Amino acid sequence: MLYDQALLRRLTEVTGGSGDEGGARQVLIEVAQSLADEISVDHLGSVTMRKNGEGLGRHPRVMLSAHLDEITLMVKKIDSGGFLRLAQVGGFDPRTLPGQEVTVFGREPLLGVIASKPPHLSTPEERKHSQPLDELYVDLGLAEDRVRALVRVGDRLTVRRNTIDLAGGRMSGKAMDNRASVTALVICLEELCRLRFGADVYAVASAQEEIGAIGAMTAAFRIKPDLAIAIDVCHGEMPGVEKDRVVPLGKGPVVTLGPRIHPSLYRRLLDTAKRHRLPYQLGLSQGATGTDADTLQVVAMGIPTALVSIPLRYMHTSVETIVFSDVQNAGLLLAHLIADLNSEFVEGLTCY
Amino acid sequence: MKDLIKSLAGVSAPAGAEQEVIRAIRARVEGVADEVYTDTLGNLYAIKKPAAGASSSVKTVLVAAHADEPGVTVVDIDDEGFLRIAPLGHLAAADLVGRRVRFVRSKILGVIYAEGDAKRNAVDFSQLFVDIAVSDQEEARKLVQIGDAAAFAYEMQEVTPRVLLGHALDNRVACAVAINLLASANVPFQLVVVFSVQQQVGSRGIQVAGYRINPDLAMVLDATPTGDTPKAKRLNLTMGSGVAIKALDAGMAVAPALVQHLIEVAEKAQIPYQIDVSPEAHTDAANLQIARSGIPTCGLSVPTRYLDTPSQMMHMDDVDAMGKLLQAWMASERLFDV
Amino acid sequence: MLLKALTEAFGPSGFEDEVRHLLREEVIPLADRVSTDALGSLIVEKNPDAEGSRVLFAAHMDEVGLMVVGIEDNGLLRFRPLGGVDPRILVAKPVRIGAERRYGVIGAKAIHLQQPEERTKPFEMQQLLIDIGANTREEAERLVEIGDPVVFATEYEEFGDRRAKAKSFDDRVGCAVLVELLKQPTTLPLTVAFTVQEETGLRGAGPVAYRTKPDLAMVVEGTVCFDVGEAKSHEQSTAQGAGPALSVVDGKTIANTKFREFIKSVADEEAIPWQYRRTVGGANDAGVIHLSEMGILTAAVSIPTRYIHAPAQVIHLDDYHNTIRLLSAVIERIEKGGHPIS
Repeated sequence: MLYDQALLRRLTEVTGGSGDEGGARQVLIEVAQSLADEISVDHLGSVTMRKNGEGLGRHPRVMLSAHLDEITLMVKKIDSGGFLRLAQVGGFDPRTLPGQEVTVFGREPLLGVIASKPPHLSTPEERKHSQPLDELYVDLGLAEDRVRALVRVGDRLTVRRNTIDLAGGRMSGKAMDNRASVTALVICLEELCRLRFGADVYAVASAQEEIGAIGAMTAAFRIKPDLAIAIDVCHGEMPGVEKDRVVPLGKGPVVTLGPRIHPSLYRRLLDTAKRHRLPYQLGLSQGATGTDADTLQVVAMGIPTALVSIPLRYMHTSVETIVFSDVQNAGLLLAHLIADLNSEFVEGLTCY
Repeated sequence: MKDLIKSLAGVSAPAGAEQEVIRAIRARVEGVADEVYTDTLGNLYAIKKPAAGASSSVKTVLVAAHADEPGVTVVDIDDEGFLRIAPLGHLAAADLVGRRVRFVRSKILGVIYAEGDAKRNAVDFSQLFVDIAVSDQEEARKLVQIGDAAAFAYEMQEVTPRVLLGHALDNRVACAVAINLLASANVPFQLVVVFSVQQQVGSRGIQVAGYRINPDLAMVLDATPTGDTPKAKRLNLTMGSGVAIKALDAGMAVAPALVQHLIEVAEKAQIPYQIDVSPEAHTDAANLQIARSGIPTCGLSVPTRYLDTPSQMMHMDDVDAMGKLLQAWMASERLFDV
Repeated sequence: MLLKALTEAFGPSGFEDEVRHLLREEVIPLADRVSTDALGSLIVEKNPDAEGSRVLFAAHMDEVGLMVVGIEDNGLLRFRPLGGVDPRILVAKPVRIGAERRYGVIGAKAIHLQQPEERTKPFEMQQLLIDIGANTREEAERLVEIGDPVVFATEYEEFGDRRAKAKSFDDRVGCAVLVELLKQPTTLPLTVAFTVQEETGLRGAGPVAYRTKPDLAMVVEGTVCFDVGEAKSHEQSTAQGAGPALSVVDGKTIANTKFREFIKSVADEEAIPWQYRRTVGGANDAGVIHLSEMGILTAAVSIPTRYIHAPAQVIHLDDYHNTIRLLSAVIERIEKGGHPIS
């Protein structure tokens, strides 16, 4: 396999905040050049990698959607002393931020630290409360006039983090949500280079999922696919969380059942996994899935939609942790689903 | 400009009942636009065709300013003729006690008050009523029916010759800027100005307008909160320091290239500007950018103190800067190429 | 009997198959074209190629329910709600589960075993489990599957003063009204849509509106009614027996005034009672239909339903019949060239 942990590492270590996905987009386009027939970038920043199927006649159109963006922070105000106040672009837990090193993308990239009051100075009463985002600030170690020359309100910043290999094939870093799924998309395209298939595949690395799943929605309106599959991360098993809300890491991608999901497409994914002996796990939802699937399903006349997820622990922190085999198996599951498709099945998706 | 603002800012136009302000705007754009019409929801469209000699592959720019304001709607009329109300948009029940409102359909005035046992800081809408000075339900029904909407009834006033105060400066000021734009625009593309309805209840008007026009580029004009009053939220904007160029609001992050382009245009034309990061502010931009296959959308706003109250405060310098930056932006050579 | 069959059918959000099958059987003889869409909404057309205003009527097929999400070692089932369910109404209710409609009961710790302070607190969803009679996890796994949907086991019955109770009047009563309307001959290009997933966020109606592109749309709902106890007039929303309720403002729609006036004028001329829906809480499929594409002129007409989203919902049969009469008269009026905007 050409695209392995190194690709995921590369994708997670670049920056690509919602609405500002440039860094991640550049890496992805470079990698996908040899795998897709055509690559385009749309108005909202989504990357569409098209791969044409074989055969005459109308090809079923399959859209895969893995969001490209990651949660980031933005400079909301420069306070006296040159300290930066923050807004979030996507949902952070502010309790994970004090003491983090950050990179501020000003006129040049700048290293900063999110300030925290030392225990010697804070009162026991203060330590009982977590600080909301509005009380946090970034120290750039620069004089105020230098800060004002190099940084302006609206500049982005991210937590500064290299991706780390843990034991057992686990990888930990920022932006695993959702570069793990983007990597699965690339693995799928690579696998499709080896397989024969009749569908036209539109693999979309969608922009701005973390602020409303709008990249997938607008891309789907343009592509008007016959079916769509969202690829995202889901919560991995951990202590203190009800068992039916989480799944173990390393036991395969999760295929979700629920109102947002087309029932036959769901069953087809399970059948595909069984036929190709790929591991999978069951996910349940009773409404919103919190992924691109939610918006995809109701675009235009409605799109038969499914969801494949990669289990991940510590979501929306800078130590998001996955097992790489789940990423690989998600990519292979998607590729085989596409290769096994036929027009009859696709046409049947609107016949209940 | 102040006269134009004054003529629009005194009108009561709650979300869903904007007809009066739409009529007033229509009267002012009919002479200057090539085509004017409304749609099912009540949005007003004013279209300026490209100047002669433009190519056939002409592009479309949409400029949007919402015409509505927050208000209340009647949900019940009690036996004594007091009206029970629910909010249209972001209004806190406690802020309404003692306020005057005007009903759009019947033009009558009323005053909002709270039931006698309501706690001053914990009033909710079920405890509010409107007194329209009638003696019973029957008399009330002659003047008001369930579903009638009302908004604040206060004239615009000047605190100083350059500082305005009013209940609907958000967003009649932007409407005035857009009307002026139509009057002066002579552009090589199609300009569609939408005076949108129902922004206060979730930008519903702009959703269908964006779908209808499907422009190549869009600009949303609105008002935005400042951080320059005692113990205000930590926001960057101060009143009187220039037009606000939107980078982030509650619904969207503007594409960095569009923000950068606006900054460059402002600097080149020496127009005072500030960058607007308002994580709690809602504008039409978020719903406009998701129409059809997605529309590149940016925003300019007037920094405004005391939003969502009857005493919104704006500085005319900022209003003038918005008008100038809008004109300079539309004249920029790189408009479609950022 | 249509109301009985429809309300007893199994159809929580996302699992509307049984309701759809039943409706399809009912409408096939009445329609020119019957189809389904990508989400499973059932779209029924009469005179699709005729001239005249294209009118869409919509009622949602789904009901609130539960989903089995886990099985305990002792064979009891854990569940989560599908749609808005108040956990306080679940205790001590029989339910039906999954493809085989297996019976189960939602039990609770007996009051004898509770500490005094426990007795005043409502049961939380996590404390409630479904008992299907299995003794072990393995036994339960043979009888139900994780992911199985669950509905209340309530049966339709008429009682009291022209009242009926059933589990899913919201919105099977709307579905029944639309089936009755289809029986009426018309020359209009008329579409009746039975939508899916209204209860999980108005999901089905948007794609239906986009596909059918009507000139006018009317949503028929079973809506909130609380004309009981000491509720004051402005807290009731609607009153039973006072006729179909016309929407003014709700969480997702500010209703078009002219369309409402048009419906009112038809009701008054036909001497059909009507009332306003007097609350801004809640929402229905009109919320997405009126914003479809360039905007669609939309109205919502509702049958007052006591105890919606609970196991035993109650309607007044006069309201049901008056809603059919009213909408039928509206269709006739439009057929004769009447239009809300004229």
